[in-house]
Amino acid sequence: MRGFLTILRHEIFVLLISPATFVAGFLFLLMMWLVYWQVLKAMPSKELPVSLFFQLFWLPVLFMVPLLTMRSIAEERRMGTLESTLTTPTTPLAIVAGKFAGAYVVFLSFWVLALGYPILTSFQVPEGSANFSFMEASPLIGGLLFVAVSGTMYVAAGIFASSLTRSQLVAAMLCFAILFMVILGEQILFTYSGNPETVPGRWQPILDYLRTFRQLEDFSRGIVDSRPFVLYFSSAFVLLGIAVVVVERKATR
Amino acid sequence: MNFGHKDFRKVRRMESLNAILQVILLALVFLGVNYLAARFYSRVDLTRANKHSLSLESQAYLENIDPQKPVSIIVTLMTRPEDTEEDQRTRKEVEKLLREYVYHANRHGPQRLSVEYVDVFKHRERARELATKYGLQQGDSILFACEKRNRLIPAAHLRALQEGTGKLIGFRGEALFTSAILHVTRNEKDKVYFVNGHGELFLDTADSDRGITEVSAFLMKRNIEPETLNLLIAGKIPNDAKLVVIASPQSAFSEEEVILLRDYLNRSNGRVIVLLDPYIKHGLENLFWDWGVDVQDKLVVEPASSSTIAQNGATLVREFSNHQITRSIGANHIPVLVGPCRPAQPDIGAPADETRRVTSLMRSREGSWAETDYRKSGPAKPEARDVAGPISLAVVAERQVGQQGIQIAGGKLTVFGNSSWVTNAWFKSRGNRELLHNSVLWNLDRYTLVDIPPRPVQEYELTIDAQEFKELRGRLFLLPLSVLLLGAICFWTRRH
Repeated sequence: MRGFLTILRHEIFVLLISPATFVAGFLFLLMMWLVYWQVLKAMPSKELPVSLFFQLFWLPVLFMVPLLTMRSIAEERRMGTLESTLTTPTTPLAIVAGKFAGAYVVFLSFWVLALGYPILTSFQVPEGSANFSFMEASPLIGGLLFVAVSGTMYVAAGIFASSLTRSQLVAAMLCFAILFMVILGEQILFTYSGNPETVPGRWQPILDYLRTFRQLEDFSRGIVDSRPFVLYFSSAFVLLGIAVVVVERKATR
Repeated sequence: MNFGHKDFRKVRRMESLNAILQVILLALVFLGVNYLAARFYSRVDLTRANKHSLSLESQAYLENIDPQKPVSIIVTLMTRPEDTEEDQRTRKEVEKLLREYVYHANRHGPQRLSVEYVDVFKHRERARELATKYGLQQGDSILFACEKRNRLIPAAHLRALQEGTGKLIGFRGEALFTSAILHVTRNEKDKVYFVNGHGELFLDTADSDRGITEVSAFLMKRNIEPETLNLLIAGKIPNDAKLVVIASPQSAFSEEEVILLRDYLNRSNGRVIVLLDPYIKHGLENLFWDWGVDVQDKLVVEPASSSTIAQNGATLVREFSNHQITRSIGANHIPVLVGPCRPAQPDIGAPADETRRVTSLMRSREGSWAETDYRKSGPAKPEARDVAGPISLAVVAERQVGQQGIQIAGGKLTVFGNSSWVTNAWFKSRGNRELLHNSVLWNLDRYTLVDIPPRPVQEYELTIDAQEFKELRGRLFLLPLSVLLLGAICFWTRRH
């Protein structure tokens, strides 16, 4: 993992000075603003606003992750700097891990910023106007934990997509397609074919295990389940592993 | 040493093979790790009062399920376009709750509990299997089964509704589910004795007007064993009697029989259901007086019914009280089809008794009355001697027993002013089946095996005016705007 910290520092620096990061951040926060506003507008509701807020997490993820990760490896390959980097005492693993960690840190930072909405609201709304707390700890911690855990896989998917091509656009589209299938594919499938619970036979527990919205429902209510941790961490591990193999293979060609 | 093209090709092939093996290895690690994670997992409730977790009582029962006799839960709650918000909410609550049940039952290794969701409209074959095996004939319910015992909970029973408004205020799923699991994992059957010797309805005759074989089959499918009992011959009520049913006696009970019934109710905390028809002298007046129940010798006359199903002297009852027996029937607007009724109501003249509670279950419509001279021929008209409706048609009386503030359920007496609704001819009506089901289960204490309060359904409200809301929206927008501004500063700094 030699060079990992150097690459991580470099990645974060590049992301922080890149206009694309700020555009992504602005679009992300704008979307979350719209979501939060709609949640407040739809009150009274049977669920806490913060739980509903997290239940729409997929909306910004679908475009923010491709924007953050599309250039990571694809751009290096297009510019021919990937081969140069590999001539230094740096391994493909360190490159992939460094790029992943950089994008992941920015991804998490955006979500931490999004927490500003419930925090600001709790200060702005006059006392006694709400029969609940905007800063209810359990759904806030649970929701953020889910975003952090699932984010490992989503960012890894972006890095993986970026490792497959030289074109940033293709990488972004590929990443979007993967995320769309992973997050919404099952939900859409069952919207047209009926209740997701009624898949007969052995598929029921498998699909049940993979259902993003079920996991999110638990986390955003304040129930932390160990299964999504394993699922998302192992998926991230596999995707990054394949990305390392791809980088190794491409660099030697 | 010289290397040719073939050698390079060989190295490339080896590299490709190596890459493929790495990917396969990663996939295997992924599958293995996730297989283990799906089997051995844990859940932590972060809420302050563990409000999403099961009660300790339920957890203890689940851990005691014998792994050799696992419990199957079959859910037939389906998503339909015409579902109300309450239906959706109920289904969601059931799913969430069952996740907790599965976790707590199976977390120590062997599979003690499994949940299967069946769409009875799509999976016809499975629906047929369930109908044959468990007698499951309706959707929108949750079936608990263990070996040959089973228990069906209709979705309507899960909702706790506010009296008067009918608004959903709670979800009583945990109490019902735990109670159902306790019931299906118990070994013994509950015995219900049907009294005979006075020309009562026949438990083993398929006659449509006087036979109740449908009721018998209905009870047996719910692990309840119906038997006949002649009080004069037996001279006592058996010790294993969980419930005694007196269905449409045609002659009066003797003094000895009444003493047996009174002792059973008072000393053994027994449960008795009485179904009486008008015109008949039953001899149970003194027993009813003790229990604060008034069954008058009158006939309830309803204004003419326009429903074709309710012809030939039948009446559709649609007014129900908020008692555990009738709550779900009323909430779902299911009518009960009854024959000619006599009033069965709380006796306002009965001696005061703090341990006794008498509740009316259902009543006739506005405009009805209790006719005193019903034996006279000619069309009935309300007169001064008659009692103006609505008239109570069924009543329950229950006693609390105990000392020093500890109260437990005592005897229960349920009286219906009509018996036709349980006969083979009329028992197919959904409301009638539901009424009998609830009455028997309530008398057998199957609703109160566990004392878990309903989970409240909270409504979160924010009361700010339009101006405040607009201001809030503007202030929240500062957040994305500040990021954009930061980006612009960063971009401008780099340029200069």
